[in-house]
Amino acid sequence: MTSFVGISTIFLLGLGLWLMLPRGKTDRFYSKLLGALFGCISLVLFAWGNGHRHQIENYSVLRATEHGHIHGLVEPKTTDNYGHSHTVYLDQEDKRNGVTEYVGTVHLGWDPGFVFYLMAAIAVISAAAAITFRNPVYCAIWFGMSLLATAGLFLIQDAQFLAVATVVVYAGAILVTFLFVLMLAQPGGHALYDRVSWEALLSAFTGAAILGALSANLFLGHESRVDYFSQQSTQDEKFVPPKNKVLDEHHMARLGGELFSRHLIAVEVAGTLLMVALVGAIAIVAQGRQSGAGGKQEDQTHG
Amino acid sequence: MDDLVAKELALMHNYLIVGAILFAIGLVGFLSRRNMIVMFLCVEIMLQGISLSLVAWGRYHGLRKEWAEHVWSGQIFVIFIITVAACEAAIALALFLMLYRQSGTLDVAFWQKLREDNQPAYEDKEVSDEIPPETESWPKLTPAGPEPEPDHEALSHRPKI
Repeated sequence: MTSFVGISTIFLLGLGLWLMLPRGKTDRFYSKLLGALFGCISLVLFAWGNGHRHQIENYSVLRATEHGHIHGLVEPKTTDNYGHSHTVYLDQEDKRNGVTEYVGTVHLGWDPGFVFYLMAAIAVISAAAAITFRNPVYCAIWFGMSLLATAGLFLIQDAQFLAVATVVVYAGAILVTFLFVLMLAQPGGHALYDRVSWEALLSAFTGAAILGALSANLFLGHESRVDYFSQQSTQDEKFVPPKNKVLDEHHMARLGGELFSRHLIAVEVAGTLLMVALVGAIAIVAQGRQSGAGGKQEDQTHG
Repeated sequence: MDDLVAKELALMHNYLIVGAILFAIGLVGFLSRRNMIVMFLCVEIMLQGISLSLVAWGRYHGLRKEWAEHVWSGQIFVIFIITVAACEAAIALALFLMLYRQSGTLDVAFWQKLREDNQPAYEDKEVSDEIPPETESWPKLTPAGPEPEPDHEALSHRPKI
């Protein structure tokens, strides 16, 4: 990704987030839509800048020799479809074989399934909605939507138990606890502190900058990643071709075996932690009630 | 074979990016919202982003034969993240309830005296707090008239205890 695209992505994303956050008096009726538009444009730029790295066609690399591997890349600079120049390197095996130039195409790209993009879009849009709505109940429900999308993403990665655990534990227990407490407090979103967010500009640009920093490693260092490919491919017995294991019926058994054999202590400690948290939460509420109503009870007993 | 490597790597990169986006969104929400419960919700969004990254890393590194023992590491880490998130949700919500009882508001700015001493106090600017007219709804009442005669039988009827 060129630096201009990267900087404009971050700038647009920060601007879009700032527009969407509730800002009180400076909010206009078009703020949310405009902010969402900027956010979408920035994410499209982000995906475009990120995606084209993987699909370099008409690239002068030979799928070399009898093993069908990519051994390395040619020394002279080549350009891809987008006019970016890439330096390519020969490795030792090619030099020994006397290979000096490569011809052909490299299909470094992949075809992401439609499901991944759908789930990712739902997750991101729901999370963005969860932080920008004024009514806290709406925020919680949007977060529930984001949890469902995350469960779908877990399923794509062959993590069936995590997908179900996210829906049952996270969306079904933690989120419902949130809603219980919201019911007790009953904020309707009209209070001042719900309509005004503090330091919206700084926080939006900080978030965008953090996103740039986290994903910068994926944009830079292009050549080293391709070398990792070639090193992987020359030792192909170490790479197990992935099978689609979403419907694996032994998933739970293996996960349970791993959990209770290798991580047994952590499981027991987690159980203790849960109990401590439960007792602690009850103690906090009981202590609060005692300090409020305990005085009255003491008067009755002594008086 | 190289296509498979490339596909796996690209999938993992995409998951890392989605995780980073979720983390950044949660961070922005946490920094800018004032409602305590919404702030905690944003922390949970951050945890979801991290879970995505962990699952992606775990699966990608579990594909190599020499690291076959780490196939489940990412997922088990996320299981513990869910557990800890449940614990912290319980305690955090209990604390929010107590704070709400003491202050009558879910606003974090109410407790700003807990900050460092040399910070300037945050004061709200003037914002009109009228409810927008289109969200106000008044109930429809029947028009007033003379009071009806009281029904003595219904008044004297006591339900069985």
